[in-house]
Amino acid sequence: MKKALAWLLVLVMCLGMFVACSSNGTSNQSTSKTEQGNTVAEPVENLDSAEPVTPAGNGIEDHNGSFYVKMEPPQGAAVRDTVVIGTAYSPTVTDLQAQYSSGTDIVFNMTHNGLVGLDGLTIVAELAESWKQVDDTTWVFTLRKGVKFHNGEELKASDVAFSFNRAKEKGSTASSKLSSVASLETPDEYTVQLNLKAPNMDILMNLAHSTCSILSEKAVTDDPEKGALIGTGPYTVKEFNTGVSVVFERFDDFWDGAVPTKTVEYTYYAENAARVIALQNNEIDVCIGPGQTDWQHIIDDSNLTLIQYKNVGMTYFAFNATDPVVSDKNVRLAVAYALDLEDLLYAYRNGNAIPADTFWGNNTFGRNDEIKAYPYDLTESAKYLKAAGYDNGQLTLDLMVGTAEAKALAPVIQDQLKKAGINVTINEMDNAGFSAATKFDSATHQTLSYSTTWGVNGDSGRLNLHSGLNSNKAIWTNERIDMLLDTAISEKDEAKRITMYQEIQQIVHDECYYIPLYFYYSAMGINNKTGGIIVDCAAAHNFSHIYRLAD
Amino acid sequence: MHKYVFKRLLWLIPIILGVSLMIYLIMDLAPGNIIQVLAPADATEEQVQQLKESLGYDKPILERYLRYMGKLLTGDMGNSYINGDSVFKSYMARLPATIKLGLAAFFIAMAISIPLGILASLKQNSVLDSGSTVFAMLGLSTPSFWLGLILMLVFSLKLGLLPSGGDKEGVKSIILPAVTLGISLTAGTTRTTRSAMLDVLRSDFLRTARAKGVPEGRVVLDHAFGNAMIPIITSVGNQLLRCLGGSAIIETVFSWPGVGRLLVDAINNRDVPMVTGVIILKTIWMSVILLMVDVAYAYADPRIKAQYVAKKVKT
Repeated sequence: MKKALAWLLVLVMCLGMFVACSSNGTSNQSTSKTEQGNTVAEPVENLDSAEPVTPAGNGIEDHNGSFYVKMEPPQGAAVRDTVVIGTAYSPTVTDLQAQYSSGTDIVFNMTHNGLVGLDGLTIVAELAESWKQVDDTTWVFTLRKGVKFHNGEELKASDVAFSFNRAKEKGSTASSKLSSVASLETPDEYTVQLNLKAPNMDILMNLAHSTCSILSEKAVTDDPEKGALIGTGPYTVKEFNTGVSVVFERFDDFWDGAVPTKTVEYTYYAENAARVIALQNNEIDVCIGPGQTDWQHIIDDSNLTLIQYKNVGMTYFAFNATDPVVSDKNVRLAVAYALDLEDLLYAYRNGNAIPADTFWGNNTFGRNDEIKAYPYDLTESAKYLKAAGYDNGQLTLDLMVGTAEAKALAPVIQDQLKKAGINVTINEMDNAGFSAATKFDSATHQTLSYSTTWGVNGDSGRLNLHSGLNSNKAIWTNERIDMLLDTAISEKDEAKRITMYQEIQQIVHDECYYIPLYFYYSAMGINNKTGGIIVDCAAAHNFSHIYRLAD
Repeated sequence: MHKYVFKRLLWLIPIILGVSLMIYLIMDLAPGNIIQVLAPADATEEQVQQLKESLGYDKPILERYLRYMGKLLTGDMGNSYINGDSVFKSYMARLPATIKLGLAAFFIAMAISIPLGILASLKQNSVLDSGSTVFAMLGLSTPSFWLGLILMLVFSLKLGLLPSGGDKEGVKSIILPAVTLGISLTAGTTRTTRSAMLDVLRSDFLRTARAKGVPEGRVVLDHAFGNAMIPIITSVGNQLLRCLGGSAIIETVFSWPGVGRLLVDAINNRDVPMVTGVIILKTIWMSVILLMVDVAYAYADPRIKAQYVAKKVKT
């Protein structure tokens, strides 16, 4: 009897292993097989057009890849006092000039404003009501009058000067954005003059970045620890629970008029599934960054809407230009022809991505649409491998990965390259270790997989391509590219600038130190009664006008 | 007895010194440091150097450690590199949530495991005994993140009875994370209670008690259980340490604002003051709990108390 019971239990446990591995069988998902015979889920929406599908109309407007969601509540409709946002980004930064990380924009979009802002690809006025470029290196901004900080102080030119001078000393992202500013003058209380070191066509884009928001000089001087939380935005910070939540309260003296919702709670949910469950359970009104595997649950729920958007994030493969093995172009081309980009879309992103052609942002100024990705061709790969002097199986490459996505991609890349006769050893690290191991002056990697984001300004290519920067993960010094980047930033003729940026992309494609893999789609889940949201393709979502209709 | 307790507390000083030095060395040996986390992607060498000087990373590790210990002597555990918050305040802000969750899970675990262990020992080789063994193995083998998500799906989403996470709804918020953590703790104590009771139940003095006409309940609870307490207290003490140390997995799944996640995030960010401070505070906390366990031994078994006192007499 006991033996029978024991065997029965063993059988149950073995069956349990198969149950745990089965698909959820939702009717909207079909399956397809990869070459390996693995079954994967099709992407949740129709990707025939290779574009994410977000419900058109119904108050959702596409602004160059970002989505404006029902910006105004219906006339006379009652709204709730409190809206709850569930986020994937832990709120840790209380000083936007000290550190910039994922999710920082979202918090400070609620509480701060800059001289100018960004609406899609267009610069719009914020604290500066007007501006003019006096000459190549001089910009003059006229401030709005009567703008109040949360502490009741009026915005003056001295606050702008204080904010920018403080930012430049921080050594942070804010400093980088303002690095082209040589000096600042305040001829009167409402006028600010920026004197640049050299002409900079992207200066307004830089000023629109959240790290260049204006702080209250008095607030920061009185309270160096928390004074940077005081801004001119539509919300004040009522509570900042580091790593847990931020509670915002409406600022009734906001210069652009009071916003609809009294209190907004921004709560961190580390676990993706828990965040989606909270949305379905009506505990939160917005779910930022639901996991790919949970998108279908949101679509299937009639009370919810999934906003999908093409993120400006790009995942890529890179070679270390200082490594003697991969500095041979034949090796790089052998790898480029051996990568099946369509297959890689499923390794981590569940097909919710689009293969990238050129190593440039999909919305970035100067994009070269003529460039096409290297096709998957094992014959071509073998040809270049032989030209490099390696027979099948003789070449072994080290692949360094630091992010969850790269770690999921690595075995697929390893498998693909093995078919081409290239062995790959995977070297996994955490983020801090990865950053240390891939520094420009001391990199130890041979190849790596990583992700980057692209701004709308052409100079955002500098991060990955200019020599000497730790963000240049190919450790690549190309004097022509450096010269083109440094010249284009100052070039007033738009056509010439475009030509320069397009030449940069051609060089990158030809030299093949970077292989762009794909742009990924991201999503946000919202309750159907929620609106007033700007879903930003760079994930700098703006909830400053959010509302939830009362039941 | 008081001298014994005092001596144990004095041992905390070399323990803290050793622990803090080890953390500094390990964090320094780990690839990457806070500079890589804080510096922007396009930072120039000057910016990196500026950042290093502001955080003291231009000094050798020993100098940084001695400065830290110097401040620690004045009660200053430093500030987080990431957000500038006081390490001590950050820890103390999160500790109540960890204690709440830990104690709730502990009581759930003890309420299940001790009675179950006793019953299993009384009904050895019965269906109940086998069932408790199966239950214990399931509790040990089930990943807590999976169990947590299943409970969340059933009780929060499907039935709508409980919130899915956070600490905003009082007792309702604590039920799911406490049950998840408690079930995973049940296994060890159930098995230990069962084994300890089985050892004692065979003793002659229990036969004597029954022969004297003592009711069976008293025989089991007063005589048998009382004499089986020592290994049970050891197991209970270990479970208490696990509960009150913070569970990063449970806190992540249920968005519980405890110290477990605080430490994991600090390690990932190479936030040395936060890591050092949290581990030192945790060490103190755990040492106090272990001391309480040792004191509990003394009250459970007078022979042990006599040993503690005998040491005093000798000295």
